[in-house]
Amino acid sequence: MRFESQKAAYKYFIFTLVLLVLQVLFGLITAAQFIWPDFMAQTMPFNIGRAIHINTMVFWLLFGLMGATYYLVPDETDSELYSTKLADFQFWLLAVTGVVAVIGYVFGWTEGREYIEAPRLLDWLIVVGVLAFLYNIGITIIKSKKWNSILAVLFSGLAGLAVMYLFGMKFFGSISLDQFFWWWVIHFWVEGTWELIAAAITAYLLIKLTGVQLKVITKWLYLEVTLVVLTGVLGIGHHYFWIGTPEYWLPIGGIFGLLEPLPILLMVIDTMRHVKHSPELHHNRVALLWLIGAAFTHFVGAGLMGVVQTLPSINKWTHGTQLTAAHGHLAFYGAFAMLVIAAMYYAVPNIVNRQVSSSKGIWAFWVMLISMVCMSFILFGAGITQVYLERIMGMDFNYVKTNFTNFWLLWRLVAGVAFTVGTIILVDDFLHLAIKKPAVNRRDIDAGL
Amino acid sequence: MNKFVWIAIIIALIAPAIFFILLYNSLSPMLQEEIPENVVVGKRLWQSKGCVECHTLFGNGGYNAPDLTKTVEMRGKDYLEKFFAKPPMMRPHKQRKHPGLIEKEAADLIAFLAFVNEVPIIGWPPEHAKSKADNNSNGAEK
Ligand code: HEC
Ligand code: HEM
Ligand code: HEM
Ligand SMILES: [Fe+2]
Repeated sequence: MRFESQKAAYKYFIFTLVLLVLQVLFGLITAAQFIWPDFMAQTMPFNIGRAIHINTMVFWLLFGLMGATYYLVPDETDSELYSTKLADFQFWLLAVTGVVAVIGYVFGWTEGREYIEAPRLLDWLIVVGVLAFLYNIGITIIKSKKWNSILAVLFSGLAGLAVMYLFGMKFFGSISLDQFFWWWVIHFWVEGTWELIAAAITAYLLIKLTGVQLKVITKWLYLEVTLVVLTGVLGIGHHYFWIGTPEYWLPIGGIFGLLEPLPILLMVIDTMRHVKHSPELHHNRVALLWLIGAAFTHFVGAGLMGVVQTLPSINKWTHGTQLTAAHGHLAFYGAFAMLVIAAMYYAVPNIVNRQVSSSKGIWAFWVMLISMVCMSFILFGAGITQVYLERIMGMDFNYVKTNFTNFWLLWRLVAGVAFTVGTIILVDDFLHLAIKKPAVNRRDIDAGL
Repeated sequence: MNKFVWIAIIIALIAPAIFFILLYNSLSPMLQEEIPENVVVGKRLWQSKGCVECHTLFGNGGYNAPDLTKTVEMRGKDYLEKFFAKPPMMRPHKQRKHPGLIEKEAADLIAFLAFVNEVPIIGWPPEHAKSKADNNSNGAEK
C-alpha cells in the first residue's frame, strides 16, 4: 500500500462480505422453498426472500467494486484520495440505506421491479451516495492530472453505471416502457458499464500481479472497451424481442448478441498471455488464482451461457425459464463476484499489512467455483426439462415444476449448501486476516497455486 | 497510441449512433400511448405487492410461478375475480393460500393484466404452451 487513503477501501470490503453472507442465506431459503413450499412460507415468503437474495447481490457487488476503486485510484494517480472523510460518509450513507432496504423488504416495502427493488425514497439516498463517490474519485483524478487508460475506462464505467440507475427510478404506467427502461439498468449495467469497470480492474490487477507494463495493457483495454460498446449497446435487442417493441429488434438482438462473447474472450486471452509471459509473478498467488478463475468463469457463464439464448428463434423457447437463472448465476458469479474477491485478496493483505495464508483462499476458490458451476449446470438441466415439457409439449407450469424440474432443483439446493461452505471458508479467511496474527511463513505462501 | 485510441472511439460510437436512431423509432409510439387510469393503478399494485418475484410477465421475473402474460385470455376475467376474492391453496403448498386482493384491487389488477394481454408480442409465448395449459386447472372454481 503506497498511500494512507487506500485504507478507505477496507470498510467497503468488510461490508461486502457481510452482504455476501446474507445473499447466500436467502438464496438457501428460497431454494429450499422450491422443494418444501411451506418452509418458512409465512415468515419469509418466496417473493420477499428472492428480492433480498438478488438485491443484496447487487449491493455487495457494488460495495466490492467501490472498494476496489478506492484502493486503485490513489495507486494509479500517485496521490492521496481527495477526501477520506467523504469516502467514509458515503460508505455509511449507502450501508445504512442498504440495511434499511433489506429490512423494508421484510415488511413488504418494495418498488416491485427485479434487482432495483429499493423504493423511491431510498433511491434518492443511493443517488446522493453514488454522486459523493463519483465526486471523490473524479476530483482525485482531475487534481492528479493523470488520466491513464485504466482510470479513464474505470471512471466512464462508474459514471455510466450511475446514469443508468436513474432510468430505473421512474414509474411507468406502460408495461412496455417499463420493461424497455428496466433493461437499460440490467443489460447496460452487466453488459456495458460494469463490463468496463471489470475490464479496468482486471487490467490493474494484472499489472500488479504479473508485472506487465501499463503500455501493453492499455492496447488490450481499449480493444476490449471498443468491442464491449460495439456489441453490448445494440445487444440490448436480445431483451426487446417480446415486450411489444418493433420487430427489427429480433435480428439486431440476435446478431449483436452473438458477438457479445468476443470482448470477454479477449479478456481471457489478455489475462492468460500476461500470466504466462509474466516477468515476475507476484507472491500473492491466491489473488492471481481468483483473477484467472474470474476470467474463465466470466467467459463460460456470461459469454457462452448467454450466447446460446440470444437468437430469437431459440430465445422464443428458453426465455424466462430456469435456463435464464442458470446463465444469471454463473454470469454474475464469474464476471463480478470472483473479480471483487480477487481484488479483495490483493488489497486486504496490503491494507492490514499481513500476508495472506494461501491454503484457505485456495480451498474457498475451488469449493465455491465447483459448487457454483454445478448449480448452474443443474439449473441448465432444469431449464431444458422445463422448455421441453412446458413450452414444446404444452404441459402445465405447476405440473412440470412439481413433477419434473424439482428433481433438478433439489440438487441445486445441495450445490447451494456446498457453496455456503465455501463462503464460510472465504469469510473465515478474511476474518483471520483482519483480526488474528498471520502465519508469516514463506513456505505457506509459496505453496499456492 | 493516440491514433489507436481515436480509431477505437469512432468504431465504438457507431453502435450508440444506430441505437439512438432506433430508440427514437421505438419510443415514439410507446410514449404517445394513452394508458387508462385503472390499468396504471393495477400496475402499481402489481409492483407494490411484489408479484414479479414469483411470476413472470413477458417472461421477466421469478420462475416459481406461471407466466401471466396471457392469463386473461386463457382463464377469463370471472375466473380471475374468483381467484383473487377466494384465493386457492397455492400449489404445491399445503398450508399457504395464494395472496388475495379486495374487490377494488382485484378489478384494477385484472384491468392491468388484460392490458398486458393485449400488448402485441408476436411469437411469444410459443403456441403449444398457450393452447394446452388450461388442461390443468388449479381448482379455483371449486
Ligand atoms: C409466493 C409466490 C407468489 C406470489 C407473491 C404471487 N403469486 Fe400468483 N401464483 C403463485 C403460484 C405458485 C401460482 C400457481 C397456483 C396454482 O396453479 O395452483 C399462482 C397463480 C396465480 C394466478 C393464476 C394463474 C392461472 O393461470 O391459474 C394468478 C392470476 C396470479 N397468481 C396472480 C398473482 C398476482 C396478481 C400476484 C400479486 C398480487 C401474485 N400472483 C403473487 C405464486 C405467487
Ligand atoms: C457480463 C455478465 C452478464 C451477466 C451478469 C448477465 C446476467 C443476466 C441475468 C441476471 C439475466 C436474467 C435477467 C432476468 O432476471 O430476467 C440475463 C439474461 C440474458 N442474458 Fe445475460 N448476463 C451477462 C452477459 C451476457 C452475455 C455476454 C450474453 C450474450 C449474448 C447474454 C445474454 C443474455 C440473454 C439472451 C438473456 C435473456 C434470457 C431470457 O430470455 O430469459 N448475457 N443475463
Ligand atoms: C447458496 C447459493 C445460492 C442459492 C441456493 C441460490 C438460489 C437462488 C434462487 C432459488 C433464486 C430464485 C430463482 C427463481 O426465481 O426461480 C435465485 C435467483 C438469483 N440468484 Fe441465486 N442462489 C445462490 C447464490 C447466488 C450467487 C452467488 C449469485 C451471484 C453472485 C446469485 C445470483 C442470482 C441471480 C442473478 C438471480 C436471479 C436470476 C434470474 O432472475 O434469472 N445467486 N438464486
Ligand atoms: Fe443482455
